[in-house]
Amino acid sequence: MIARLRWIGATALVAVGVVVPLVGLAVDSLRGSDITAVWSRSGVREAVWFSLWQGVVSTLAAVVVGLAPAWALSRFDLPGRRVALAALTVPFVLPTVVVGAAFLAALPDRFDRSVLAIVLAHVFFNVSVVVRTVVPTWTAVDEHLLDAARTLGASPLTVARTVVWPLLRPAVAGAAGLVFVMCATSYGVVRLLGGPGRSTLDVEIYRRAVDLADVSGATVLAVAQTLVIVVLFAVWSRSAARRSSITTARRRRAPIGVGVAVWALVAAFMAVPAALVLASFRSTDGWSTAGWRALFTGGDGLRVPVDIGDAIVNSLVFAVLAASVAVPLGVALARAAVSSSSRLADFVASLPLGASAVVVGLGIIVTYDTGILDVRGEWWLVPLVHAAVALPFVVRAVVPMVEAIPPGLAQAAATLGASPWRRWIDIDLPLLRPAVATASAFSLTMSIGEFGATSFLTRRDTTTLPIVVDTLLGRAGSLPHMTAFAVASVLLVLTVVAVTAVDRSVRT
Amino acid sequence: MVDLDGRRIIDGVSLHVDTGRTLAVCGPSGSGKTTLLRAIAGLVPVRSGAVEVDGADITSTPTHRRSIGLVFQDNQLFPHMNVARNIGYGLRVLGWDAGRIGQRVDELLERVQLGDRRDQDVATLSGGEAKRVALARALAPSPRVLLLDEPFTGLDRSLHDQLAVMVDRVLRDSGTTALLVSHDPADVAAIAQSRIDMPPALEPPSR
Repeated sequence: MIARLRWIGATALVAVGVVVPLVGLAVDSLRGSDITAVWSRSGVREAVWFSLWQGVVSTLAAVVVGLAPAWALSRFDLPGRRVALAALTVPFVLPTVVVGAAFLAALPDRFDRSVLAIVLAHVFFNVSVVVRTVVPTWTAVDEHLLDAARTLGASPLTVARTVVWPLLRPAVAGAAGLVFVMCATSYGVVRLLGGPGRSTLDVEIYRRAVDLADVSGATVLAVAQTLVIVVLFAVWSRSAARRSSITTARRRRAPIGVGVAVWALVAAFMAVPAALVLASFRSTDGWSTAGWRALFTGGDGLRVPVDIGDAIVNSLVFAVLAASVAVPLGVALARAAVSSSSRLADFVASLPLGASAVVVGLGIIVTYDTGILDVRGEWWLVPLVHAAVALPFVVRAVVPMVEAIPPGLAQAAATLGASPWRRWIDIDLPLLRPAVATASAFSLTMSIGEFGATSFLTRRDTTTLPIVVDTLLGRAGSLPHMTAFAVASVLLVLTVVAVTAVDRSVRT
Repeated sequence: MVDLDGRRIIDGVSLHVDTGRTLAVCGPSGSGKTTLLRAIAGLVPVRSGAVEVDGADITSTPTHRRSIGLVFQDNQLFPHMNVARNIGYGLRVLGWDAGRIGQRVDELLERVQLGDRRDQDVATLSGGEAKRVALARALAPSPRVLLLDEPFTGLDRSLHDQLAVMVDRVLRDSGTTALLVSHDPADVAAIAQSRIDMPPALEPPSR
């Protein structure tokens, strides 16, 4: 009964937050707008081309940079292995505007608004995807298998090519597919680091809809992009479906060179957020705390139409509300997906992955615009959409943890006299605690950093921190930029606190 | 008659256990022994036929109201509870007060010779210890019938024999009516007063 209610809730959330807006977009694009004419408008072809080639370059770079530490962390035991692994995998949960702002701060001015900055930011983000996906697979490659190949006369290179690579290929291909979709549809990073001629499709959609008031053009692009992503995603999920068994290999002690190289990479990764925090104290004429003081004076003198204090409160309130919707629904969907091995639950949860957040945001303002359905200015729309966007990630994070709970435990409790309600309280709930904690961490961090959909939905009184960062970086002058870096630092800290707090609650 | 996933697992099996005695059901693996126990416990539905205890039909009673204990083949100890809390679980469900539960748990721990393991984490138990905890947990609420599913598989020979003697004594001392499922004739001889054999598997397990 409870399970069925949750089911309906999850389906309703995905329907209202994602499916209806997408259908609205599709209908709108067929009605009225000339689809072929959109293609010839200035900037459209450039955006498609830039999305593709930049996506390919970023993906190749992220895979190459990511495989090296993945190899070292899988095969060797080096000092601080867990810390290094955490440092390389955390960037994935950082808000896109934080990474964008951090690269603005870290790179010399002549690289601002350059392709190099965009690719570096994408590598910083997505090395974590490669490491997360490849390390478990590489760890599971049995050393004895390699020994067997060697005794049959294979050179180290032949072993790598004929034994190791075929075993890793599905994991690497799965990671590369996901990274490509992330880079080709990159929004926050490109909004901050790109410039004329350097727009991805998502940025172009926003530019058309908001800056150029060409909503019909934006709608056509959004529908086209969604179709492409859905196809890519279907291919990706098929290749990623094959999962290798997890075994814990014995790791050898790392040679000095390997340890130094891994820690050098970790240091480079750490330098990026450090540069962000430093930049928040650096004005054109030396060190200053003016940027941080502006946080407490509410942004007077910045000539921006937002109150930073309000934005902090909004971000936190929205994150908690979104989590209180996404976490119970996500855990319930994960249980449905595991217990009935139902494809439907998996499908419902995956739907929001097909559309980028920007497309969802556009879909909402295009669809919910008439009569009593006109809720575009309602404050609760923001956390609702955050919950819908976070849901697939919550489900994906939680499914393996739910799978690990043996179904026999609830049966054992039943033979001891426990009613269904009692079994839920005594057995399911405590065992789901780590899953709930992980789901909360995902939902909170995604909501705090959400920029794509939010950039369409916020009004003056519902502004969130990522929007403030973007607005401030768009102003000329030293003070707005310092304040932007300070706000981005606050976002960084909030995200890291959310992740570590939850991580700790799982361990104890 | 019991069907599982559209496959007929058991058909035409009939058995009767006298109060306070132990009956063994024997048969090769794949003959539906485990499914038979699960049907009696109410964990799988019975398509035709009946389960009766003390003359009352409980075929449609939900598992948690049957008062039928089951020692699972893989124990299914609750990983988030220590030894004492695992054993006391059924008593807490019955609403006993803490003092009485403590007494009963101590008495059972004594009986399965685990008096020093009271507060231990169940993940750290050996195979034989875990099996004894599972037995004590199933016995704690004094079920009307205790079901034992291959209780000694995966244990080495000497431990196996030791445990068989213990189970036999515990069952006799508590006067529990029990149904044991096993493919090992030695278990049957050690514990059960009577035995029946499962009919051969209805369909080859390969299908």
